Amino acid sequence: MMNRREFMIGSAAGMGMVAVSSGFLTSCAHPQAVVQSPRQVAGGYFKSGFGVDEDLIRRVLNAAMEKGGDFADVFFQHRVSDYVGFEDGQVNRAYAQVDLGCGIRVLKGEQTGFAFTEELTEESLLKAARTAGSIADAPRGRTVPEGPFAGVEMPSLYARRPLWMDVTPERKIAIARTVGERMSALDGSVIKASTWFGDEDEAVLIASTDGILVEDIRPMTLLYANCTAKKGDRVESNGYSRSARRGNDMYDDVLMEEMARRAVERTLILFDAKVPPAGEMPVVLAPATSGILLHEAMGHGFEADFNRKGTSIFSSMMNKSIAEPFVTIVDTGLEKEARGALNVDDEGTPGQRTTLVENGRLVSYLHDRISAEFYQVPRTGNGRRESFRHVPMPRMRVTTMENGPHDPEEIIRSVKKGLYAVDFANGEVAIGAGDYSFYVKTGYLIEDGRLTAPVKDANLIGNGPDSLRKITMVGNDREIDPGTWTCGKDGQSVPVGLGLPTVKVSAITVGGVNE
Amino acid sequence: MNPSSNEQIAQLLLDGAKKRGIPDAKAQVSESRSVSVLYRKGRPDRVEESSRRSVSISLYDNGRYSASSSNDFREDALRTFLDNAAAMTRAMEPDPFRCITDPALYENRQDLDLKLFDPAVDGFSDRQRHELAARAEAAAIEAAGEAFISAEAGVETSSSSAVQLHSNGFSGAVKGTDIWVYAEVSLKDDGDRRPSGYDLCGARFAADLGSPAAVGRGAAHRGMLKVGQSKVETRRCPMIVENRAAGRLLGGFLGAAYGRSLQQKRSFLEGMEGQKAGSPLFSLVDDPFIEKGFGSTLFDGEGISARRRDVVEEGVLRTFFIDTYYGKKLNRPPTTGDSSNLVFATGNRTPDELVASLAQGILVRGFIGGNTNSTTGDFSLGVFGTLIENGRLTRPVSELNISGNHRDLWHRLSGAGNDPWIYSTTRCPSLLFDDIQFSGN
Repeated sequence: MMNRREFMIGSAAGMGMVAVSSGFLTSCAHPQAVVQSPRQVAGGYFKSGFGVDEDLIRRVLNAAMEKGGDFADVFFQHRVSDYVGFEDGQVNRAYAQVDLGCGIRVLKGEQTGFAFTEELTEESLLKAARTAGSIADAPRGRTVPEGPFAGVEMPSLYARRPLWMDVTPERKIAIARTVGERMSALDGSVIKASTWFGDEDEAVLIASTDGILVEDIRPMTLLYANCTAKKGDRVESNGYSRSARRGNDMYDDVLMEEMARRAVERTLILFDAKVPPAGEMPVVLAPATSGILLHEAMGHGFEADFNRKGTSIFSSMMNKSIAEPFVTIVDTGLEKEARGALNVDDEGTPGQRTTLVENGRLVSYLHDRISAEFYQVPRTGNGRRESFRHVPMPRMRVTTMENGPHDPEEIIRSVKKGLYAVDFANGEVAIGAGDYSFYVKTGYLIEDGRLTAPVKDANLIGNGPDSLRKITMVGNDREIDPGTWTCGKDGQSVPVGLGLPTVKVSAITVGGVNE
Repeated sequence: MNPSSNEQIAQLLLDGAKKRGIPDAKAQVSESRSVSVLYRKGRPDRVEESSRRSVSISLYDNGRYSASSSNDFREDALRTFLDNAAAMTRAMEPDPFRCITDPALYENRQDLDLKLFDPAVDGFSDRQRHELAARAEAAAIEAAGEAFISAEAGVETSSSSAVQLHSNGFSGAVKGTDIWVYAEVSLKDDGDRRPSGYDLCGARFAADLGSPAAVGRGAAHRGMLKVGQSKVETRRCPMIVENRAAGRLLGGFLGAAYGRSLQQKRSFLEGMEGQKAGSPLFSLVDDPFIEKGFGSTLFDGEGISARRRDVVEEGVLRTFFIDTYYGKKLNRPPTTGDSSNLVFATGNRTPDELVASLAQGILVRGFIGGNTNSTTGDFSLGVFGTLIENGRLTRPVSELNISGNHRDLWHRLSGAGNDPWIYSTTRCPSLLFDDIQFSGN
């Protein structure tokens, strides 16, 4: 709860994020699942695996409404995650975690009561329901409609079944090892290569007093490739990562080779790179990873909880023109198999695509149930939560900018002296003042319209609405970044994605060093 | 099975590992309960109650290793959990450096009462939490006055316990409580900017908790300090980092001091032990024995008996954080892989006196983003704060970056305040550095 920062960690942060401490207390955890047969689960994961049926859910929701709430929902979650690590030529560590429980939420206007249980017994569920319900203080609220719960129509963006339960440890070890060994083989200057492979099968069930019940199964995998190289006295490190809602088939030979190569290339270029000069300058953002600009400078400020409370710098800008007419920004859960893809959000709203800025005009915030109710608009499918232990909030999915009218070459040519930013590690924003920053891991100087010296390790800082207005060119080469982005807000982490075409911002402050 | 206590469950897990042919194992069962209430518009906005319990095991089979955790305590689920963990361990490659903690390191555990558990926090009532949150919120609104847009204030109480057993003789139990009050206030400013201020206080014991009204006022005050922020010209000048922000700067240095960073060649501190890493004012102690400290403990995460260590002594780097595994890989004895309470040496001057000592400079009140390259020591961080002119704080500044290298930064440390920030496991005073690169206009 002490963590009120809005920030993001991405590819180059690599092992920093999943760093495995020696400490026993912090060790993650575990392989195959407790539910023994994944094949029996289609269309009733929690019923067949845990005996959670509609009657039980109805009793729990009704208990939650005993004190007169307006609305209640339950979020059952079973998540089985595995990790293996390659270091010093060996796959010599495995971590696994089984997480199971149910969060119960009761709303009374804008007020929230929340409790969870890790035991899916009726007694524990009813107790948590009554605890959550105590936010209200009135005669009994409405009960769940009689008859069967209604389903939710939703897209099918990834396999809705556990993809990793049946994959052998040997296969995971082979993935981690292959990428690790190839990094070492690619260049003689590589002195350390490590990889970190992770997979996850997550099943969720959402049901509410609206009478809906929906299950989704969300597979996920990630791989970090970390590389350290030495030339003379100098040592440099960097990395590359991929993540998607995919299974074992993602890791074909082409991808594993590409990951190793990119990790090594991104490390070797640092030997030629310098910290850029300090000060304000035009910045051209390369496609894909630069989407972090949208995430930090605008995305968080568009989350409706901040606007509902009046704490976002964008609170007073709805329906106003906030950027050039060729700027269109969307947040979408519909990117097939993307890390940020969602068939259904964690409040039971179907996955969808939300246009935030359309031809320069702010047209929508990102909504969860509470904010949609407050603004009297449809929900946008952005109600997300880290786990059953957390309340949902408006969160981003895959945030991107649509293609614009400019040729990427022309954008670079238009800059006399500036920075071309290629890869990013992380970012952060202050919602109210609008100041945001993101960390450039590698890039190039632009001199007289040409890319010249490579640069590294510079933080860029700007102000969200100001930078939006300063987007003076947008390329026609949009890419979605396939990296492992994790967004933190109010102490909750969720997987997200981002993308961007080549974009020029006419002035951002570059945190460099002047000799 | 149905064991009644967490200790019994931990023992059963160890027995289960042995039955599955795993020679060495560690087992832990931990439990925690926390309740929080967040106030907005004079009433509870969010009330959350949390009870968690989980088991963790680490298995060591002749160099093969895995660690697993689960919160599913059903008997058959725990059995499957152990089966899977044992199978996963056997699938790993044998690593000659991987073994359970040397039992000699369990010895000489201090017999101290660190005063980490307060029954009064454990027994806090809903009414008490609501009262504190309401007081903090009301004070925040009042202090914000005309500039007020929105305020939130919260209270969280938690208690936790854990039991840890190792197959080679370690046994340890910990129990702790804490209580936190925090507030965030958004304020009007010119244009669309809505700067916010945040403040908090916390304690292990209820009786030590600061005033919730002061937290509310503090949040409003810190918001006021951001009203009218503007950029300044790119410059090199002295920098004071406020106590509560200094821990983040120090974290960039310490990231390179861990065994893994050193062994994986991602540390700019490699070979620096016993060498000058900063000015004589740079002294840092890892002190696990502070009564009521948030990081206090009698043993570390792998069971090594805790002891007080100089990390940096008058500028000389004395200790790396090295656990058993990376100790073996580096061929040096382990110290500990976990820091406890990191205490930075304080100076004699108040933060105001530090400000008064500068003809010009920038007081950094917080960071926004940025990162440190632990391999090279290069850092670049977003900052905001207040401009210092002729010994006085003149106007709020933002949208600035500081850049440099940690090999160099700590040699520029020329002053430390007498104001340690006590609401963190890193207790830093305000720190004064000479000649720092700021990027602005």
